[in-house]
Amino acid sequence: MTPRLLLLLGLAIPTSSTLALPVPKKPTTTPSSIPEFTPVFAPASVFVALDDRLPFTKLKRAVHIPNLCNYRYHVGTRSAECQKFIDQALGYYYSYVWIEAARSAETALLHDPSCAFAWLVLHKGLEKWNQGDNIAALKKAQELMPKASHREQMLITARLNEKGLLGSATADERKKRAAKSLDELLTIYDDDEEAWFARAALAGGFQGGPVEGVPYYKALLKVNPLHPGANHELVHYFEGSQRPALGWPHAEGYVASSPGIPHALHMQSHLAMRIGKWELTTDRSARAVELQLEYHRVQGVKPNQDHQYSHHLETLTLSLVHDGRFREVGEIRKICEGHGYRFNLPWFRTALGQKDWPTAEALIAQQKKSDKAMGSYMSALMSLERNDLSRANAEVDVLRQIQQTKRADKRLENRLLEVQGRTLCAGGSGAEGIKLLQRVVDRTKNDYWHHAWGGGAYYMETWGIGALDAGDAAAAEEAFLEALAHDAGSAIAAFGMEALCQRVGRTKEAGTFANLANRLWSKADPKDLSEMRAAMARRAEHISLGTTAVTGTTR
Amino acid sequence: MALRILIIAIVLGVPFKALAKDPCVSGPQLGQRPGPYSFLVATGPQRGQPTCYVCDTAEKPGIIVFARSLSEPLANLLTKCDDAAAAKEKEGLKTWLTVLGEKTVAIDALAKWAKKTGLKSMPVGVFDDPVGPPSYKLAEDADVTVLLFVDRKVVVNLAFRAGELDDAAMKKVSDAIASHGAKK
Repeated sequence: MTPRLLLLLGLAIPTSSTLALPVPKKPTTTPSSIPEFTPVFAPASVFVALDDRLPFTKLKRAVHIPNLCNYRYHVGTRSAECQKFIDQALGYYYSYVWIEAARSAETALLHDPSCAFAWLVLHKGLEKWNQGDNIAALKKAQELMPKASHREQMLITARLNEKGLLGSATADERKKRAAKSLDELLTIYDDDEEAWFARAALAGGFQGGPVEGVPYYKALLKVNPLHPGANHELVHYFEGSQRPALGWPHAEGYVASSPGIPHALHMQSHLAMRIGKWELTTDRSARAVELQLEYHRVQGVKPNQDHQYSHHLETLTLSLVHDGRFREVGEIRKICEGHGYRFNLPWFRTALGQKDWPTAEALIAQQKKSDKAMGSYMSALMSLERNDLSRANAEVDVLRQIQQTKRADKRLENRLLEVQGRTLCAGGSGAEGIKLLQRVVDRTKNDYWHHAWGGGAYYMETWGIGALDAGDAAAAEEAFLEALAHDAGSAIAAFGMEALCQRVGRTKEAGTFANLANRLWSKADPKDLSEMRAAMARRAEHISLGTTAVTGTTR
Repeated sequence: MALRILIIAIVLGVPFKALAKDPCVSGPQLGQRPGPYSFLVATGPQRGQPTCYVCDTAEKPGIIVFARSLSEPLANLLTKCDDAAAAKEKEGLKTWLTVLGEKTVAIDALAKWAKKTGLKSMPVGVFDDPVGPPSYKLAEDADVTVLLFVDRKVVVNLAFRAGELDDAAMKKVSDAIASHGAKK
C-alpha cells in the first residue's frame, strides 16, 4: 500500500511528504475502469483512491477530441500529449465548459506533472467550475515556476498577484499588480495570446462585462483573428451592449475557431435571433445539440453535469418553433423530457401550430398545476384558435382576476392585453381589440430584451392576426409590416401579408410575400406550412371585398 | 429579339439615346407610403443596431437611398443628401443609405467606405435580403432608388440602373433634394 492510501485509510500518521499536493498518476497504456464493486464498509475516499479518477477533479481522465478547437498555445513541455490536452483545456475554457477545462488540464498533468502552465490552467478551470482546490493548483504552478518559460512565469505571477498569493493587498491593489505583470509581459511579448486574454478578462471580466475589456479582446484578434475566447467574449459584449450586428463577425469567428464545441455553434443564436438571421441559427443550434450529445457520450458526462445543455436545448426549441419546424420540436421534446427539462410555452405553440388539441390541452392542464395565470393564458390562446369564444372569455376573466393581484407583473399584463384584444377582435369589437393589441406593441417594441429569442415581433404578429379577425385590412397591414421591420424572419407576418394582399386583389404583392413565407419556412413540414397559409387565408376572409390597401394607396 | 433591334438600329443609324430603355421603375410610387423596415446600421449612433428610421422619421421629411452596389456616383449622391440633412436640420430632414444584400458588402467594410466618402451625419447600413423590404417592391434592375417623402408619403421617386447615375441624373436628384423638406 502506498503511504497516501494508508493515510486515506487512517492507517498512517500524516507526514510532510504524504501531505504534499496530489500529483496525478502517470497514465497506464490501458486505462483501468472504475471498479464495479463497492467496498461496503469503506469510506468514500477509499473508493475514490481505488479507481482511476483524477485527484483534483475526481473525474475520469479526458478523452482527446480532434478538431474540437483550433486554438494552440505552445507551452514549456516536452510531452506532445501534455500539449495536446492543454490546448483542449484552453478550448473548453474559452467556451465556459469549466468541467472539461479542469479535466483536460489535469489529464495534461498526467503526461507532464512538472508543467507549470498546466497547473495554471487547472487552477483556472477549477475556479470557474467551483469544484476542487483551485488555490492548491495555483500554488503548485508557483512552485514549478522556475522550470517554466519566461512568459509562463509572468502569466503565473500575474495570477498570483490577482489572487493575493504574493503578499496581502486590497482587491484593487491586487488587480493593479496583476495588470502591471501582464502589461510588462505584453510589452516584451506582444504576440502572447494568453496574456492578451488575461489582461482583457482582468479589465473587463467575463461574459459581456464592461467595455474596458473590449480593446484588449480586439487587440488579441489582431494577433489571432480566430481566438476562441476573444470572439466569444465579444459576442457577449455586443449582445449586452445592444449592438448585435457588431457581434456577428465574432459569432462567425467563434464558430470557425471551435467547430467541435457545442457552445460555439449555439452562441451565434444570441445575435442571430435579434438581427433576423434565422436561416443559419436553427441549423447551427441543432448541430450544437448533436455535438453535445456526442460530448456526453465520449467524456461520460451526465446532462446534469453540463450547465449549458438545457439552455442550448431551449434555444433550439424556440428557433425550431419560429421556423415552423414543428416535427423536429417534437423530437427535441422527447430528449428534453428524458432529462426532466420542460419548455411548456414553445411546446404549446407547436401544438397550436399543428392544431394538435389533445397535446395543447395536456400542456394547459399541466401548466395550471404550477402556474394558473400561464395556464389560463395558454387556454385562452387555444380557445381562440378553436373559435371557442366563450371559453376564451372565461379564461380572460380568470387572467384578469389574477392580474389584479399581481399588478407589478408586466409580462402578465401584456399577456392579458393580448388575449383580451384577440378575444374582442374575434367577438365583433374589432376597434377596441386592435387598440389593446397595439398597446402591447407600444409597450414592448423598444424593449431590447423583449426582442431576445425572437420575441420582438410576436406581439406585432398578434396585432396583425387580431386585425385580420376584425376585418381591418389597414391595421393588419401596418401590424404585419411592423413585424417584418422588427424581425425580417417573421414568417407569420409574411403569411399574414400574403393572405391580406390576396384578399384585396394585390396579387403580385401576395406572390412576393408568399415567396418570402416559403423561404422562411423552407424546412417546415409542407403540411404545417399549408395549414398556416390556409389559416391566414381564412382569417383574411373577414376583410370586406373591395377594401383598399395601405402602402399601395394614397391613404 | 433585343439584339435584333439593336443591330437594325445600328444599321439604320438610329442615335444611341433613342435606344435608351424606359425609365427605371422601383419602389413605392408618388403618394404611396414608405412602410417601416429595419436594417443593420454601420455608421453613426445606431451602429450595430437594427434600426427603423422610417419609424423614427414619422411625418418629418426623409430621403431614403437604396443601392445594390457602391460606386463613385453613389458617393456623390450621398454627400448631397448628407449636406441637405445638415442644411435642413431645423425641418428635421433625415436621410440614410440602405445597401441591399448582406453579400454586397459587410457592415464594417461599408463603414470604411462611408468614412472614405466623407459622410458626416448620414447613416449607412445593410438590409440582408437583396430583394429589399418586401413592401417596397424595389426593382431588380434598379441599382439606385431614391425616395423623398414627407408626411409618410413619397413625393419624389427616382430610380437608376447601373451606369445611369450620370451628371444629368445627378442634377435631377440634386434639384429634388434642394426643394425637399422646405417649409411652404
